[in-house]
This record gives sequence, C-alpha cells and structure tokens, in this order.
Amino acid sequence: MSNDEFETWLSLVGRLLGLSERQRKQIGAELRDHLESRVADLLESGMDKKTAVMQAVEEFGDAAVLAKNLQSVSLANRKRWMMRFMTLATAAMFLVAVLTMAMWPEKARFGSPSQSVAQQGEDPFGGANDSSADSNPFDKTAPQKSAVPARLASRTESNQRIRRQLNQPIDLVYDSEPFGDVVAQLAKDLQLNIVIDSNLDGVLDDATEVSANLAGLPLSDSLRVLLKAVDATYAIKNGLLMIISIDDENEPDYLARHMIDVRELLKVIKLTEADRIGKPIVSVRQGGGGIPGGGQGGGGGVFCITPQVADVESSESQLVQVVVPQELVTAEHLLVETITRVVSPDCWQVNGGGNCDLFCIGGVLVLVSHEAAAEEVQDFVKDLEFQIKNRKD
Amino acid sequence: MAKKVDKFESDLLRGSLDLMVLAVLDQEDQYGYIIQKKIREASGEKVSMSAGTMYPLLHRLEGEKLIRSRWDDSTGRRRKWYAITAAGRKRLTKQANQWNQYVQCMAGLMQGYYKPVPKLG
Repeated sequence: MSNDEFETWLSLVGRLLGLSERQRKQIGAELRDHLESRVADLLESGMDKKTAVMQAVEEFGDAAVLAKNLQSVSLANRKRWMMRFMTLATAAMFLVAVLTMAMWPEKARFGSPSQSVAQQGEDPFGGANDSSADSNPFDKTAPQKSAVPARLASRTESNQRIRRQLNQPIDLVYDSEPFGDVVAQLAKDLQLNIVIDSNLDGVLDDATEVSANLAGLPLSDSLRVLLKAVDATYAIKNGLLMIISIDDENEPDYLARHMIDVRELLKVIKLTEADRIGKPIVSVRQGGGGIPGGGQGGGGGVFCITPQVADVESSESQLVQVVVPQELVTAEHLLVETITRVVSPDCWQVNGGGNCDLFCIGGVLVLVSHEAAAEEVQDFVKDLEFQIKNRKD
Repeated sequence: MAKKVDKFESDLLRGSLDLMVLAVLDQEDQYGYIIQKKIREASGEKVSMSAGTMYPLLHRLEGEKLIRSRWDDSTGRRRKWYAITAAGRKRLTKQANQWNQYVQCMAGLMQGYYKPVPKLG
C-alpha cells in the first residue's frame, strides 16, 4: 500500500501538533492505523486504491483542526495531571507533618522541661515563658526534670480549659434578660458546665434579670461585672464554672489553687549575682520576723543554715553561747511579701483579712485564692517583670 | 447508489458522544477505527463521528481516567487499544440513567410532532 499520501498528511498534522516528539509519534501511529484500516475496508468494498486513500484522508477532516483539538486535549490532560500531582503532594506533606508531630518527643513538642515547670502546675493565664536553658538558674536539676508528668492532673486541665475560655474577649450585650437564660446561653456558646451554687437559691430566680453592654473585654472581666450586679461572682472548681454569692468568694470551699511561673521575675529581681535565687539578699535582723519596713507580715522566714552567735551569757561555772537563727530575705520572700501587701491585700490570710494564701516554691508562685486575686497577681507579676527589665539603670 | 440517511444534527449529539464511546468500550476493548465503525453501525449510519472528532475525544476520556489504553504490536501494525475503566463504567451507568429519563421526557413533550421510526439495527 502506498503511504505517500498518508505520510504527507501525517507529517502535516505532526508539524501542527506542537507536542513532544514522543507524543507526535504516538499520535501519528494511531492515526496511521486508522487510515490504513479505513483504506483496507474501502478496497474491500471495491474502491480503487487511489480513491480509497483520498477518501480516508478526507474523512479525517481538516489537519489543522485535528491538530488543534489534539493539542488542546493534551494541554488539558497535562493541567489535570499537575492538579492531581499538587493535590497528592499537598496531602503527602500534610501526612508527613502529622506523622512528624505524632512521633515528635513529648518534651520537644510542648517545650523543654525547664519551660514546662509552670505548665505542670496551674498557670491559668497561659503566659508565655521564654526562659532558656542557658539562663535558667535551675539547670542543675535538669536530669530530674525529665521525669515530670506529661500532663496536668485532669481536673487541673479542666479548670485550665475554663480559664482559657474566660480569657477570650467577648461581647456581652443583654437588656433585662432573665438570668437563667443568660447562663444557659453562655454555657451553650462556651461549651462549659456552669452551675449556680445552692447558696444562691432564693437569691437568683427566674425573675432575676441582668443587663449588660460590654464589648471587647475578656469574658472573665465581663462576667464579673455582670454578676456583680446581682451580688454574685464566679469560682472555678473541679472543671465547673460555679456562680456563687459574692459573700462566699473568700470562703475556703470556693478558693482554687493557681500556679504562676515566676522564674524570670525572680532572676531579674535586683540581685548582686545572676544566680542568687534562693540565696540571701541581705541580712535583715536577728531574732526573726519581717523585712525592713515590713511590719508584722511574713509568716515564717528563711534562715541561715549556719547558726549565728547572737548573745553570750556567762555563768559562774561556764560560758554559754545562745544560738539565735538569723532571718534572711530571698527574692522569693520579697516577692511574696510584696504581693500580699500590694495586690488585693484584704484577701490574704497573712494580713488577717481573708483565706487566700501564697507561697513560692521552685520558681513557681502557688496561690490558693479566688479567681480575681489570681488574675491580679498574674498581672502584677507581668507588670513587675516588665518594669524591672525595661528600666534604665 | 446507497440510500441517503438523515444524520443527527451535531447539536443533538453534543454531550452524548462520550456516552456512545463508553458504551462501545463497555462491550469489549476496541481501537479507534472499530469504535467509530460500531457507533456508525449501531446508529444506522445516523451518527457519523469523524475521526477528527473521535481521537481528541478518546484522548480526553483517557486523561479523565474514564478509559485506559495500551499499545499492541503483535499484528505487525502498531495499534492503540482502549478499555473502559471502573470510573468510566460508573459514569456510563449514571449518564445512561439520565439519558433514559431525558428520552422519556422528550418523548412525552414531543408526542404528536414525530412519526414512528423503524427500530434501529
């Protein structure tokens, strides 16, 4: 069979295709097969060869149109392939990221052990802690820190979740809304368990209405303002947001434990050396009790290990040395003292005004207090650290 | 001289050529020339899909993974065979149902305007 006409026509299509050599060859082979099959059929029907070849080529139509259509399809297929590739690549990258996260060591995922000290406790504010291992005065204990629990206690986690929710800014706009409806709506919106304390029975009922127009404030502040109007406030205990009488706020049953990482602050409190946390700043006085200008506050102190000779008594037969412990002031002591004097002073047990208590241990401030006091202490710690770090000596 | 057959208008065919090709390939694997021939024969010469239309269509269906192809050199002539894929069969079933409903709908609407035609094939 003479293929001259085929070759001329196929060559024309090939030139018009503008595709790769491999694609041109494949398309050429497919079209040639079609043309040859068609010519064979026409010959079989009695047509002479020349006419059959001409007709077969003619039936294909315009070579330019065919080439353009094939080229369009090829480009569309390539785009489709690229889209599939991109989708697969994105999915693969996502999978790798998820697997990496899943296989990453727990400690590395949630920060170094030294950074997670406060997270092991109950930092209700999720404050960022940028203390690095290099500047961490507690580094000597690093090997022991690897044994810290991976998670907080479950009730602490639940309480933290509520506090995180309360930390979010929210708009509270109510115009004489029934108190029960407001509580139900908040519980639904925030996905929280809210209970009204039994001490409020008869105080808050269906007839109680609340009004508020508070925008952009953290929910904790808005809620406090809202509840104050009906002589109530809130407490967080055992994973519950409890609405309680404002008179009960300081009662031990409604106080909660809070923990605040203060290592950074302790480090920057005026010390003669960078790593003197826990070491004496200055010898205060002999005989115990208070700091300079500190009055009666204190509730215990830090004492020198080495006994000091405070007095000497003489008797007829022997000389007796009376050893008196010497109280010293540490950065922790100074911080606790300052907080109990300047932050909600009426709520602290040590001041004789309330049942809240405050300690500093391991670079963590441990409070037993109501929510408002804890928030104020947190703010104070942040502000103080800022002031000390940013002052110009 | 062969009797002239009134071919379907191209507007009428648009959108149904994919379905015709998939239906032919659902019966058995074929190569381009036979696909064209089978459609022409099945339609009583009323559907004459030119090769210039059919090959771009086959390549598009292949790109959409509705059909797949393989080359065969065993006969001494390099030939590209096409086969329907599972996705193509799924599409065929779906579109065949739509077409059946469409035909019934049109038959109802066009009743009284058309003459009965002899059964094809």
